[in-house]
Amino acid sequence: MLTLLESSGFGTFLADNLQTFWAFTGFANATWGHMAMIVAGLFFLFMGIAKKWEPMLLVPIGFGILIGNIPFFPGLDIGIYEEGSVLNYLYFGVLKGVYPPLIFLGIGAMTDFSALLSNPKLMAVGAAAQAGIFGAYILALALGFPANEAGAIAIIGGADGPTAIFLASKLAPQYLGAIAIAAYSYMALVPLIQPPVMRMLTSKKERLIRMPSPRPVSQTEKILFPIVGFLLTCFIVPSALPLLGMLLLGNLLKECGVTKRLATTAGGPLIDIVTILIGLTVGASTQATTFLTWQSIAIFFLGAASFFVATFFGVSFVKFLNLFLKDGNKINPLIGNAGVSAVPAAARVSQEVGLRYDKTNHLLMHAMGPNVAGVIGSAVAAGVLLGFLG
Amino acid sequence: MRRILMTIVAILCVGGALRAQGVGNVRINEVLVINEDNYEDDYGHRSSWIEIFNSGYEAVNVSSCYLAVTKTDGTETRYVIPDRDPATAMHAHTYLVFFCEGTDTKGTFYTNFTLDGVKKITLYNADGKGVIDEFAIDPATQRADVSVGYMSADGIEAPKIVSLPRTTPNSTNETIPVVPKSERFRQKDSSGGVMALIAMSVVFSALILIFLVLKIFGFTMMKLQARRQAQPDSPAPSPKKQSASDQVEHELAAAALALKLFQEELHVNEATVITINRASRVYSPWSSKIHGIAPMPRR
Repeated sequence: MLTLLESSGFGTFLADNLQTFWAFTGFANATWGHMAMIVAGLFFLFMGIAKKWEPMLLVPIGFGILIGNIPFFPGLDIGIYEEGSVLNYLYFGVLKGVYPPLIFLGIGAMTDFSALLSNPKLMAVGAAAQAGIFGAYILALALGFPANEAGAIAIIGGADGPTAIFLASKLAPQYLGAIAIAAYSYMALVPLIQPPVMRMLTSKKERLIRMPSPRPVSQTEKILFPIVGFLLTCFIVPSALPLLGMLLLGNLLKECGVTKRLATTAGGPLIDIVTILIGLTVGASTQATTFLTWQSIAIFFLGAASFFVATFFGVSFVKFLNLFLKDGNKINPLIGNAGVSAVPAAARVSQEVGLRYDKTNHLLMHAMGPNVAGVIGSAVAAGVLLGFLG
Repeated sequence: MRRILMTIVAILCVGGALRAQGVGNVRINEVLVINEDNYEDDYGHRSSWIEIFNSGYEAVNVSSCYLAVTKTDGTETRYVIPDRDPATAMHAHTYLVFFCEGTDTKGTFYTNFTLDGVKKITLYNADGKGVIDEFAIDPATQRADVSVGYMSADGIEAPKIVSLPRTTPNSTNETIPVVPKSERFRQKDSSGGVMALIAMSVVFSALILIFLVLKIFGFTMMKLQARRQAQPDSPAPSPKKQSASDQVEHELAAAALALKLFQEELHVNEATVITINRASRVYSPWSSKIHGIAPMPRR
């Protein structure tokens, strides 16, 4: 039989085809980089599923990392960076900054600005925490990144994934994957990063400060806020228009009371669909060949630094404000960390740390004020960076 | 009828305006007066040339437009760009080059004038009156094989007419690499401190502005609320005597509200309660599985 196969040349034919098939398999094209990234993807999935850390983000991103790092023979039009592939079409929404404003629309439709409206001075805390962005900008310049790349990396300090993706797609699309992964990773790690800084900067007496309960906010105020807030901020920083416009439109849909269906869609199915797409494509964009570089490591380092700086300035600024406030009207500095815009993770950290020192002192609602102010602040900061460096 | 006529006139006006807007984006981009050792035409000849550029974002056709030159003695010569030549259609951001040999027998892109002693080139639209673009030339300063054209000093400022470092027929005049805005910012602010300061000021200003507006608004709302709360202390107006029909309407409204609240509550709970409903199925041969499967043919 074998002799027959050999004599007819069929054996050679079969071997050639098998060899070609092997050359197209993932095993033949695998590198250590791919394996390392697959392990990273599995780690993200583990953190999301087993530890329940930001599962809505980490699960799609983690699986996206797996998708993006399946080794394949180039030219099959399947990779995310190969023009015409399905993943490339989906990635268009990230590259052109389509997804982030849609996510902001959903965030707006889910956010209650009452805490901020009842105590507007918390707005300043949201502004102070944006120092993390510019601290990271200075550090990135010192590390030798060009100004546009430094700006894109610095926005990680805003702790706002959609904003980071939006700005990176405009200023440094080559680092979009690394920036987005760093931003989302550190947002998930907020419960680990922030408490040590909060404890370091506050005394026990300060941690026990009780804040007066917020005043009830009328519906008229809630309706006017997105309109007035939009006009004021976008007249100052028009480059923040896509983000702030969508955020505050979403909030108006929620609060005006006559567009319940639109608000439900924006804050429900729409944001879910876009979250899946953005998580998947951002994860898939971390192909080992483009992702595993020294710059990516530097971006992760700068991202961590920016979170520390943001928390430091947020908490310190509250302490500074307290110097001018009367007793009974003082702000608990433990809500200063919430100035970064990781909603609502940062506010939850304030609540948890606060409860550790006083089981009856609930800071969550107070912390939501700077938290949502941080969303607006980071969008404004992104607009400034885009205006100067874009 | 009158309305239809007005609509047609409006559409024609808008259409005309749009067309005018399209041709209006064409500009005289580059001119080479003395061509000794430079761009050759398809006949292998070197002559003066004029390059026009469609700076707009829509295709335009320059057929029937006029290219005109004004000599130093004030005489003007016009060349009408022939129509029915598809080559005169210009896509967005494309160029056309007209050779100025002084003969118009070679085709669309050969003008009946030369550029000797020319002080101004004008592009007129199809009516021959409206000026689309003008291009001033100083004949005394023209050098051999050095063209003049629009170029920006740094890639950001508005382009001006200058002697170009190299001739660029049928392509952009911007041949000097432009330093990106971000890099120029970095050169001016190498540490990033100025950026940090400015940007934080902008962020603070924006948020403090909202804070002030909210504060004023909140204050007003609180005052209004306090006023409303104070009102019940004043003697309440005597209640109107209700008629029987009013009472029925109120009862109906109360019953409707109660039903609505009940239904909403039911809807909320619905998602968490598993209910088993007996589904009655009416037999039909159309839904029968037995009849759906084709029986095996019997021998």
